[in-house]
Amino acid sequence: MLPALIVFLYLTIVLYVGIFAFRRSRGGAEDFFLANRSLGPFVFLLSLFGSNMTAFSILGSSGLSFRIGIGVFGLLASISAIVIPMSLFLIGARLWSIGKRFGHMTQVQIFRDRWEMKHIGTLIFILEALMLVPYIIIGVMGGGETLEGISSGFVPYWLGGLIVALVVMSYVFFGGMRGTAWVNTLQTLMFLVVGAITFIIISHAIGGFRQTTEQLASGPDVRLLTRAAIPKGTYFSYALIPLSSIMFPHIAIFCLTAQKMTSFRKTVIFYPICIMLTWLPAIFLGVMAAGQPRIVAALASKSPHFEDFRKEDPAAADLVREVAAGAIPIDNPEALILQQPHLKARLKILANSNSDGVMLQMLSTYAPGLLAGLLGAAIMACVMASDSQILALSTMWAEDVYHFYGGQSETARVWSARAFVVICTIVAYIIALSVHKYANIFDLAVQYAFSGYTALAPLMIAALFWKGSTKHGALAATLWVFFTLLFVTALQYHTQNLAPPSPAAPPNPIPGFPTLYREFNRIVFTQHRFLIVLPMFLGSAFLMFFVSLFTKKPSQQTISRYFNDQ
Amino acid sequence: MTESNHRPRTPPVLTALLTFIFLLVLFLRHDYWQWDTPGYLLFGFLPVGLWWQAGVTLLATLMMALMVHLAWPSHLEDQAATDHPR
Repeated sequence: MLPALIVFLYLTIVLYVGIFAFRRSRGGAEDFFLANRSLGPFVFLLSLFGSNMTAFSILGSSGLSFRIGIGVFGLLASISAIVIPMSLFLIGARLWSIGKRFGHMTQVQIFRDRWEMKHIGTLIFILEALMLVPYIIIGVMGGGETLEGISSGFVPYWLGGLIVALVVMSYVFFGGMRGTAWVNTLQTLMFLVVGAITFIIISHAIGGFRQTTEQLASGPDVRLLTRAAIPKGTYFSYALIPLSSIMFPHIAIFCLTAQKMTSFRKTVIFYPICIMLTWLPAIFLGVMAAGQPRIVAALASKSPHFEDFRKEDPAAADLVREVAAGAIPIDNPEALILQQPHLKARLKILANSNSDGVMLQMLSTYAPGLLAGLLGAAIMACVMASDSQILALSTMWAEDVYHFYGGQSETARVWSARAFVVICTIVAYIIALSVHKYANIFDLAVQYAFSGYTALAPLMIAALFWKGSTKHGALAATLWVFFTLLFVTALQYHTQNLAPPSPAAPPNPIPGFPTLYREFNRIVFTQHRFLIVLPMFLGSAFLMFFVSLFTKKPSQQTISRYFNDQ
Repeated sequence: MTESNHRPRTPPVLTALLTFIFLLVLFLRHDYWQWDTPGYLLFGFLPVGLWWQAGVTLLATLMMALMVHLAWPSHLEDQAATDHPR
């Protein structure tokens, strides 16, 4: 229970920070939504990084590396280290400048002003909001899973998710951007420091990495030390995914909070280092866990399919539970039966279906109570990155809808945003409860949020860098993203019978759609297995360009305001 | 239009060089030549594919440091300081 108590203590501190930020508030919309554009370089770097760190970064990536190996670092982390700082450098700094000059607080405000449009902006708001909600749900799911894991099941998933949702809602409600930024800074610091210490301690507890690596290298799991499980087309398409970062409303809005543009200098330089310090241990521990029979047994025993296994082979199932609890060492003659190839493979499949819990399982198995609690709190910190998404959504609601359609009073705008925070949290919580155990954290995020935001990036690039871009180009690209997302979701639903039995199995062609294939839990593009984000992004860029060529440009006055530096 | 708008921009040669560096780092991330084998284990436990990618991440830091020192868009900050909100 000690780890759970530490996590609860941490949640209390976080709540206090939010309330303290509320006391420092000067009132007004800009103060609540953007902390009065006053964040210094240190808070800006750490809170921006913290906003990008989600349940998916830690739980999802370590779970994925448990299943497919070290390639996850190249797949997600190193490309993020290249593309995200570059997009902050090229786009983020421009957003800051435009926000400061024209008083904008959201992306849609910039688009409306830049392209002289009204209701098309509302359409972009709706699409962005629809895509942000899954991301918020991930936060609630991660919170529930973390508290459940840390407390060894004492706090059930539904209660853990509820507690996290309430804490996040409270400090966002009171503290606004200032509270969120301070909490994110605290969270990032905590994760980096405690995470590094824990990494070292777990490495000792499992007998050093060398032994585990050699064990993996000499068995069928050697593929986890390679990238053999990742199709090259999929790996290539992931290069586009980090473009979503700057299009996520919470990141774009965050770019407007810096006091000076020089805050971006340290951020873009140190961002890759922060990524490495965070993702490398998470991914490496995920791979190492695959070589730990006790961890595999523990994950398998918590799998939703374990009951089926127990019906088939009750003796083996009991043995798995005892190994998972540490009651029988894996080298005990009794437990050797679990080393038989068919049982080992079966256990791995069961464990894979519960792989997002791998990091927490490592903690509860190997880390001492106090440290497990501290790292649990640090993981909770990343999980609670949904705070900035909730704040961004409420900012967009207040500015892009309420204010745009007539709400002029600043006080009313802030209170409408606060009401939105409450509604948004309740909706996210209900959905998190209903889809739990049915949707993998990672795939949910990639399919419904990352791909969509990546495909919207051409809008931002065109708005900032191309004088010839038009609102109709933006409309065409937005509709393309909207309808492709709908199409892919519907296709995924209707092709469940075509889904191969496991993620490792080759995809099946989808009749009637010669370039589309059905994988275990997603649709891919061509036999090279490119992610669907590739055609989505290319289509969006093409429509933005092509439609803009033939439609009316904004007035020369507007173009001059935005491009007087060229 | 402000005085800062007449500041000299990043020279085209430098822009081309920085673009090349960016593309090079991007290319190095796609190390398809070491895909199916663990290869050399650095310190006895770190597979080649992982330490290569960690190296790419460090290169990204160096690349961004170069961008900031050689091509910082300071004119944007000047504009924000001199222009007024609507």
